[in-house]
Amino acid sequence: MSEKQEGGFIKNSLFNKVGKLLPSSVYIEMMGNSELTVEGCKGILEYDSSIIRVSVGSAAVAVKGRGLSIKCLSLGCVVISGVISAIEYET
Amino acid sequence: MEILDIIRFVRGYVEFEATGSFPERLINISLKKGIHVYKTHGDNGTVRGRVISSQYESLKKLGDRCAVEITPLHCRGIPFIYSNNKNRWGLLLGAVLFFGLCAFLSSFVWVVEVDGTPSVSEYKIRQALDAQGLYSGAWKGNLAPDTIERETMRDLGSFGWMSVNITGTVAKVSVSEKYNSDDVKPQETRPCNIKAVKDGQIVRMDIRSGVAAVKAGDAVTKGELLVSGVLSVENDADYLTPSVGEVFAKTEHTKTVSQPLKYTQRLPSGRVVERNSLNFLGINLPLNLTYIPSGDYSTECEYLNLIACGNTMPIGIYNEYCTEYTNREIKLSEEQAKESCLAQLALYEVFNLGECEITDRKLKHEIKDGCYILTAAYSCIEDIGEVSYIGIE
Repeated sequence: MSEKQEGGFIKNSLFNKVGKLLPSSVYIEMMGNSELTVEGCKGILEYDSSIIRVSVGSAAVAVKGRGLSIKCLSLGCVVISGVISAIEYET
Repeated sequence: MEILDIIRFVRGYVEFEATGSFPERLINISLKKGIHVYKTHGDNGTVRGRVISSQYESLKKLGDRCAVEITPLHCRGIPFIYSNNKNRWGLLLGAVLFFGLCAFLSSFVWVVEVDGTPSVSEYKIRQALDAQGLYSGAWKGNLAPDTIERETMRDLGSFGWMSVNITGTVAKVSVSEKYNSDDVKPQETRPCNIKAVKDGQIVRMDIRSGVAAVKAGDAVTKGELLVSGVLSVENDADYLTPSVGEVFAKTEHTKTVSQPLKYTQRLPSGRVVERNSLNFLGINLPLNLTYIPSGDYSTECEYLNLIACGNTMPIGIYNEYCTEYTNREIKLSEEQAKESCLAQLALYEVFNLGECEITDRKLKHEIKDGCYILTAAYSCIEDIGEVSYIGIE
């Protein structure tokens, strides 16, 4: 019983550490200059055809370009399509 | 993606425009509340998007909380089409009739496709299928493909295999010829001689097996031995072998043809009666009231079917041309009669002397009892050999 509790404690502490690490991390994947995926987004800060600003916790990622639109939006992930000309990481 | 669009169309969706100080907040909150906003576009401080019609009211409440004004732009999908037209009973009736008519017409065979064989014409196959109830306009409920295959094969008798497949409104009939083992002549293996089938003078011989009993220049009569299958060896023992080869001989053929100088012939008078009808699913609906008068008439039929996407539809025009014939007396000059006889001889040469090499032709003519008679004497070179098996008792 005590071993189980000990094992559970180790697992919990490990997941807690990883959990603390994950929300602050952002993963950005770009396909050419036409599609961009941001994982770890917290919300949309600005939505325009020339700029889309995405909140990633303590910072924001600004995607600039022409004809930008949100192709897909789900909890923690956003896919932006259009002609991307710049990506800025704003802290 | 298209399937998703179809599902959304079936459920109905609202295209909206969100305006306010921070319309982006609406998207964030709606996502957290489980309201799926899709196909979003942001421009000049406004955000446009689409939402499923059942979630629109919830989105509007969220918009009030975010101080965002939501304006519906378009309402699309089946629920909106239904609500806009629910009082138009004629439309509903038309839709029901349309689907009912489609279902009713789908229960008939519209097209019968036949992959014919060279030995049996497509027309004969269609006639046999027609007798079994498979035709354009036949009700599918009455058709049993297995029975049609069996009965048609029994009626025509010259098929090795036949299949009838009814897919939708198209009946595909595939037929395959029977393989006849007699068509392939095997190489002679049994002991045999070669004998003459007609009189002639040997010109040349090409013997690949057996012993020649005659030589070039010899005159032979019908039934005479040309090549022997009996071989003699040194110790006086004989053994038998199949005789293989060709024996070409000069032969004579005589053909007499005649042409009356005065005769009666059935010829078209020039009067043609045309009758048209519309054919739909095997039913003929007359397009005019023309009747065929009594007399000597010959009828030609013509089907002009509608073809759609390469398929012959069971809708078309059926034309009947009835030509009147009368008997006329024809008189020929000697020259015309000779031409007619020469034409008959040409046919004889093609069909009866096709395998012979004609070396000479002598013509002799006479006029007897009002007929021009032409006699042709042919000198030919042909293979006169015929296999004759050696009987062993």
